[in-house]
Amino acid sequence: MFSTFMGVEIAKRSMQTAQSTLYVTQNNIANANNPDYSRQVVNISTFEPLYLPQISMPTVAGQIGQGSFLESIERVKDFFLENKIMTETSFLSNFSTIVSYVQRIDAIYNEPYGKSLIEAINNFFNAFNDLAKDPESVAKRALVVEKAKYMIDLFHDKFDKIKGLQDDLNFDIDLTINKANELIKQIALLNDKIKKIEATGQRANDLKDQRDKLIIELSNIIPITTKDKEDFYVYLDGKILIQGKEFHQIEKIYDDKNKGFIFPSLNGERIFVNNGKLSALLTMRDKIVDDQLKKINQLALSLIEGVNIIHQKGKTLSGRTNISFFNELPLSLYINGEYDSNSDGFSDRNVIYKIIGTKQLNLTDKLMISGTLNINGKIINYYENDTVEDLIKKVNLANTGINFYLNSFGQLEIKGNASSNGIFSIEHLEDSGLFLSSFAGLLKENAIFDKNDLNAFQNFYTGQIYLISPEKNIASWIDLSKDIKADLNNIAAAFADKDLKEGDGNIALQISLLNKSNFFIQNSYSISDFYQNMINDYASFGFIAKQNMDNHQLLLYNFENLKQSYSGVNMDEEFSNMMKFQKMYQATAKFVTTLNELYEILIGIVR
Amino acid sequence: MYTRVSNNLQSNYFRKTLLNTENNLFNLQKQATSGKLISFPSENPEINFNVLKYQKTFSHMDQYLKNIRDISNVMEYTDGVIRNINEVLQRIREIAVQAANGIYSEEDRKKMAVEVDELLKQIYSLSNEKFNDKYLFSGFKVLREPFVANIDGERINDIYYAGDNGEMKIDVGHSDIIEYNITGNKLFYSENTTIIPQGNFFNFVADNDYKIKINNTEIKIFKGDTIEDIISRINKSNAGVIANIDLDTGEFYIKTTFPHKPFLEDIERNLLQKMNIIDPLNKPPFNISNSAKKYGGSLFDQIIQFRNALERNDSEAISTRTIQFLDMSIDNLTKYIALNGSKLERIKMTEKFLEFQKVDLTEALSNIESADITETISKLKSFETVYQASLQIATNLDKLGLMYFLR
Repeated sequence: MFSTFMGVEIAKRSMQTAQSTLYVTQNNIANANNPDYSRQVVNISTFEPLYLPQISMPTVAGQIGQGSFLESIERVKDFFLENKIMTETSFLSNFSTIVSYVQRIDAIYNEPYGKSLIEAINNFFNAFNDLAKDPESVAKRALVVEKAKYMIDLFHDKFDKIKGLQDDLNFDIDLTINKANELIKQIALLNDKIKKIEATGQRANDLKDQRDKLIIELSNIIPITTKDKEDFYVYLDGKILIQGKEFHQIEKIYDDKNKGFIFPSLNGERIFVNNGKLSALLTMRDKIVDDQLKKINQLALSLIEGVNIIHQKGKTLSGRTNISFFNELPLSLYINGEYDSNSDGFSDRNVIYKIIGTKQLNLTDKLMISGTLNINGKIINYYENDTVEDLIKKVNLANTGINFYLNSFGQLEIKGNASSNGIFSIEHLEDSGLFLSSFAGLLKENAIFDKNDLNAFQNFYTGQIYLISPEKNIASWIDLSKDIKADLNNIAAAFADKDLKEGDGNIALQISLLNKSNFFIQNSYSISDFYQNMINDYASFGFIAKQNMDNHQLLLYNFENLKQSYSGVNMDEEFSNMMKFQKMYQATAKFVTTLNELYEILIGIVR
Repeated sequence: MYTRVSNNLQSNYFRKTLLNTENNLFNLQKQATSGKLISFPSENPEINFNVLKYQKTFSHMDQYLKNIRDISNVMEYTDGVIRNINEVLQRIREIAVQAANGIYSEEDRKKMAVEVDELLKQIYSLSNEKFNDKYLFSGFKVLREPFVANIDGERINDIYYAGDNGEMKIDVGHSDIIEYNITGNKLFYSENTTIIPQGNFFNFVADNDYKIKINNTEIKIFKGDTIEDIISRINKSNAGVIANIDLDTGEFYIKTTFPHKPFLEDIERNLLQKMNIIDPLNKPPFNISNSAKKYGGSLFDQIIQFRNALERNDSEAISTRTIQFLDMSIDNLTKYIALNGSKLERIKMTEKFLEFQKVDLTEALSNIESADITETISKLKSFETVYQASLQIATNLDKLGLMYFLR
């Protein structure tokens, strides 16, 4: 037998179902413009029909349905798309961060139409060229100093700005790690909440949407992968970052050796991220911007060195010789170049920038000996049939951070480029044969030069000359020498001669011709070539990043659109749902009225 | 294709289209207003690289042009001065031809002497001509008179060269360095100078390594070099002198290869002093040892001798020899007029070439860096239309949807 009021029960459930469904629809409409929201759909199920097989089961025709009920509210989500979006977000934020910082470098250099460093350098050399025509003229001398000062100012300015940018990047890395840690914490917290809710059998749809949003935000910073099993996992670089409510924070290591910059680490181990904002910031700080600093220092060093060598050969109007035009600051005040690199009060290495051989060589000389060079850890073999030129080329192409070349006296000069710590120095020289020793006259036979050997100078060939490295950050301290600052007449325009020759501008001419020399910097670039390459390096990097950014933006846009197409709210759909459930509610209400009438009749019979 | 269109999809799509169009519009506007394709290196490194290369070339070319203009002024002025001197010299030659004629009396010759004296003073003053406050003919000693006269009252007794042999150089092209001054020790000397030091050099051997300097050329002499070795080293050096030895008398001499007063100097140790050629107490060119025999004088020496001969009515001295000397001087001046003129012509041609090249390069650069205005503007117009259409559609779309029909 069926209960009298069974119909009311069915109607009640139906009305409840229709009502909740309307609420879900309303929630969908309310979040139609929320990009992180996934539309929710209701699962309506039939209620358990009568009767269940049990002892009290009446023998009537069955089963009879008991109406519908709201089984679950599910969000519509495509997890494959979600993963794609995560990856693309990492890519995009990597490239867009690079682009934004490259634009800041653009603004520093003021190329190609602003007042640029290279223009100032050209003007400086042209001033010397003008002085060559009127070396007796005080006005022309004043012009040389003025142009030199302007150039020096620009060197300081560019250096400060690039260095400032590097510091900004370091600061940004700090902030970015903090933000990542905050996100990690929040995600772990949400994991906990979600787990607790879902344990009750309900669906934590909105909280999951929130977590997805945070995951995308974290993807912006670091390239993470996720796994949603019994716990929600987040991995970084193959290591677990979050597991359920447990999480690891990204730690900051301060690298004392490297300017005190911050490096990210996990469980005490340095991590290498290859994507996302953090990766972009690290690349910019440690490669692109750092490279610009090295290059601008190299430019300043070459200028100081090149101009001074010629200037010192000249004679000033006051009859003095051996005057430097630019200031020179050695890194070590000791004659053997001892230097305390970790500031603990004890010298721990030597800083030797240049070694000049004693023997006079020709480029076409055959070596007639063979051996193996170890230059800064790179191995270079040389054979009997090689000429001096062959070997010099081999060394320079090997990218050892050291340049070989013959100076104007035919002596072999070895010069160090800037290493990662910003010091221009030679780190290691070793020769299994006799080239560096008896052939070129640099080292004693079988002797090894190493930067960490405080007695390394004892290994030099007798009579050989070496130069101490310049103070770090050359572009920041490049300046006129005291002599030039004190008196314009201390500019040496003339060759040093017994007689005073005020009309001799040959030294000034030679200095001005440096600007056109193709071997000015590292013996392989002219100033303008070097500068053009320096600009081109970062600009190309930025340009490629921009293209990649556009690419990934398009990909991300497509995936976002697919996601919105799948998970986004469509108003018409919601309205038709609304109509549907409104009608369901109305129909059910009508049914209740009908039941009511039935009861009225029933009660009437009784009466 | 999207299987389902959601509200966010629509708005995303329109936002993206509008942003793209706005970006394009902005870039085109930037190009249209600046006329340039890029304003930062990273926008297009290739264009930037080329622009920098051209800018470097322009900077160098401008400096070459400036140099050419500066030195051609000096050289044109020098040309005028030498031509003036030449004219005065021609007048002296006319007098010399006249004076050689026997019909003139002592009185006439004295009058001629007065005129020659005036002309001498004129040449002297021309030899000390300045341009831009710098003496033209004194080499590097631009602030000092190249020729100094011993004056007794109004009368010039002697004129000597006090300048040096400095060669002023400037670059007028890539690895094209031009020497643009003429020194007095060349221009005003018309005879070859010969120096014969005292002594027999037959068995002379260098007892050490030496370095000497002849006319700006440094010559190394090595220990054990015989006199023949020394001679061959000097002759191979192209210093403007040749040396030789008379095998019979052991007499050594140095002779210039073209008329000028040579500058001889010891740089390392004192070989020339040991050979009795120079006296270290004086500076070149006054350092030729008193004991050495010297031949060859300046144009001034000849004119002074001629004037003195006229005054003395010494018809012996006013002979064809004077005219010969004067002709040599005129030849020498003409040589330098031609040399100076041809250099001037060459740099003028370089100037023209540079100016043409600048026009060509400017055009080439413009092809690289300049935005095509017609193209830019028409693109700008078409993007404007697209932008307006997008906005129109976006507003119209708002009025679509079931909501508007469910009333």
